[in-house]
Amino acid sequence: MPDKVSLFATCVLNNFYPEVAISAARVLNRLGVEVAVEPSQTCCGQPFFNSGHWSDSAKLVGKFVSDYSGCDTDIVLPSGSCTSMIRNHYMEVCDQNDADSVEDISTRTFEFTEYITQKLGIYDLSPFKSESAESINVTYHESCHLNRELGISKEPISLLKSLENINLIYMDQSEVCCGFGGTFSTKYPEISTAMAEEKIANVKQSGAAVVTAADMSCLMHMGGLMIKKNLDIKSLHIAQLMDLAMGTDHIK
Amino acid sequence: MKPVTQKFEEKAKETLLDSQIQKNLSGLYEGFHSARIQASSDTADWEELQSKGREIKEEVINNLDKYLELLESKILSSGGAVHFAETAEDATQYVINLAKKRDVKTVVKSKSMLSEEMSLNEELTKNGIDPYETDLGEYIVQLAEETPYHIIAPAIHKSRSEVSKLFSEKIGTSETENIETLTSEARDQLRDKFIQADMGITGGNFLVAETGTLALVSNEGNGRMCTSMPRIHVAIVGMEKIIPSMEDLGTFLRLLIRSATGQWISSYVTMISGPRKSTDVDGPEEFHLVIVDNGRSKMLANPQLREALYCLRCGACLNACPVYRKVGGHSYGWVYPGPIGSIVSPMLTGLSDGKNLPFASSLCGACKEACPVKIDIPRMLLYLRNQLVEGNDYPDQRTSKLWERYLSKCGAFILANSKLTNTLMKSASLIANIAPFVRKPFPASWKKTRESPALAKKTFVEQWASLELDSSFRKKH
Repeated sequence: MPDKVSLFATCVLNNFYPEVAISAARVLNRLGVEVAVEPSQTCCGQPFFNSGHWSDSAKLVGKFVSDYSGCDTDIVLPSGSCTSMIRNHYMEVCDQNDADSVEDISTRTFEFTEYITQKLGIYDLSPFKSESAESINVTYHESCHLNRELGISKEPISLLKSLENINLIYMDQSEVCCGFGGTFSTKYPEISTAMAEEKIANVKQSGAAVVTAADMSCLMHMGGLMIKKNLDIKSLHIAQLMDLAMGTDHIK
Repeated sequence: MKPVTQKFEEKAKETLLDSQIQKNLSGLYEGFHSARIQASSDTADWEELQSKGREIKEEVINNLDKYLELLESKILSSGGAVHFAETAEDATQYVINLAKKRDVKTVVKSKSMLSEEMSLNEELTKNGIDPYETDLGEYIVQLAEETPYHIIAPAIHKSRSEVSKLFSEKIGTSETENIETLTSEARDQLRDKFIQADMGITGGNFLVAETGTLALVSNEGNGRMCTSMPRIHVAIVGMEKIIPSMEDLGTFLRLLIRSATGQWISSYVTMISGPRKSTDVDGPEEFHLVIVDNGRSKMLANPQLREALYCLRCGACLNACPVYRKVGGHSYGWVYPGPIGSIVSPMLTGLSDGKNLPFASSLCGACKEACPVKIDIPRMLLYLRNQLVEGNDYPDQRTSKLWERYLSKCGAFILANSKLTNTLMKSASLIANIAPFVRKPFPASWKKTRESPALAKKTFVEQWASLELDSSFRKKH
């Protein structure tokens, strides 16, 4: 029986980076996983929760619960931050009648690289790689919620390292926040940008052509600054790099 | 210290433009922060120690009355005096009354953040008593007429040339960038003060209840001199600093010192149980312990914030914080900066005034990871944000605007209805063809330094239905 998952793209990917969600789906599929998509998905509610609007967040928590309860499919999110919202914070804001469903949902919700490594048991992607994949120098940024709230740190690195075409270069302070922080980035743009500047300096110093992470929001932040600075360094989600390595020949 | 927490943004921006301070702050990562990581990873039972420390703190804070009583009885029986001060003003008044009664002219002080809460130096001076800070960093800060920049490194923002200039201006020494020379100049100045002083004032890192012992941790020996040379010793300590036993002190000294500086043990650990005994050859004639609340019971009363009282004041969360490493200590506008300060300062000085602080965090969690007693700082920041926005527990402290709450409600209403969301997103992507600000919809505050991402022509969910991929792709659960 093939594994089956429901892919929750997250609002950022659904509206701004659909190609990343497609890459994630394609990678899972190549790993033998059947992928479904709940068409009514929107947002996990984290932006409301983190900015203090808990009762508004609760509405989206309620929606997520009604969208995903009543089945036993694992839910995969290409974002450590949104996964952590569900696993670590849903209980705090959910309707008390939904507590059991939240408990159930949080045990079958996984971040993308967490699902591949811990659930599928795949830490080595070399059997899935394509011969034609171009080799690239990549540096990895540890997104904060993936690393500290979910405790996923070695897993994505192990996946990247197993791909022959990827030359993984360690950057200094890879575990330091990029300065995004959701609404923090627009409430305190100067501080947020100063943090990103420091991050980008480390990316640059690594000499990599691509910076990757398991959260698109961090990459959107770092990438946004790199575009403004005319830097010739791409920011690609880890799912896109896997997709490339597995034979998709072009990523936007 | 008069709180100016409202000025966070203004001060943060100033600090970002100060290249000298930026350089000093960035050194914290390779300095204290890395030293802490090294020391904790070299400690085989670090996680056990952390859990043990946290459990002890939980026990004490939940039974504070009992431990305060025990401590008081022990100190009284060893010949010391104990005063409970509800407010900073009350604590200050006790110290000043005592100083006047005993004809004190000169006071030497060992580092104490609590004395900053009390504006003690200012108040002593007003009453004709000269206070001298004897910790080198605090001495520098006092000469510069500033406030501490960091809990354990008060002058971290000053370069050696700034210190040299300051010394030459204020104490008439010749300018030099040699740190050893600067230190020995400060030492020369302070020796005289130690000899002159009638009263030594210290803070306290721990109060051991079962023995009535005050424990002081320092690297300069000034704490020991403040507690042994003058005829009166006054310790001012926050009520959360109590621990049950001497055995627990071993646990906490390891946790505190390794987290603060990365040392295994500080140069000095001074333990004081009351004034000089008849058989002692030296030591103060009087020992006074002032235990201060000053708003701490507000945190004690709220189970959501109680763990903020577990704080050891090691400063590890400041060093770990990428925001602190950019905005520095003064931006936070009161005694305690950084992540723990963003909880403690608003709670002790007014949540609505300090409304910026809980939001001045990217919620990266580095503070929680660094905390020796695993205080969940991000959780409390989120709680305070919620209070400022919705104000269920502190209705009079709510600062969010009506339009802001309305906007959020609209957003949630739309997103909770996928059909409405999809219709709006489709319209937006049509309008985006002619309106660049819709195509790249991020606000100006983002766009000034970062490119906005562009709305996709078709959302992932829309594309999904028509994706020409493996048939298994299109299944719905």
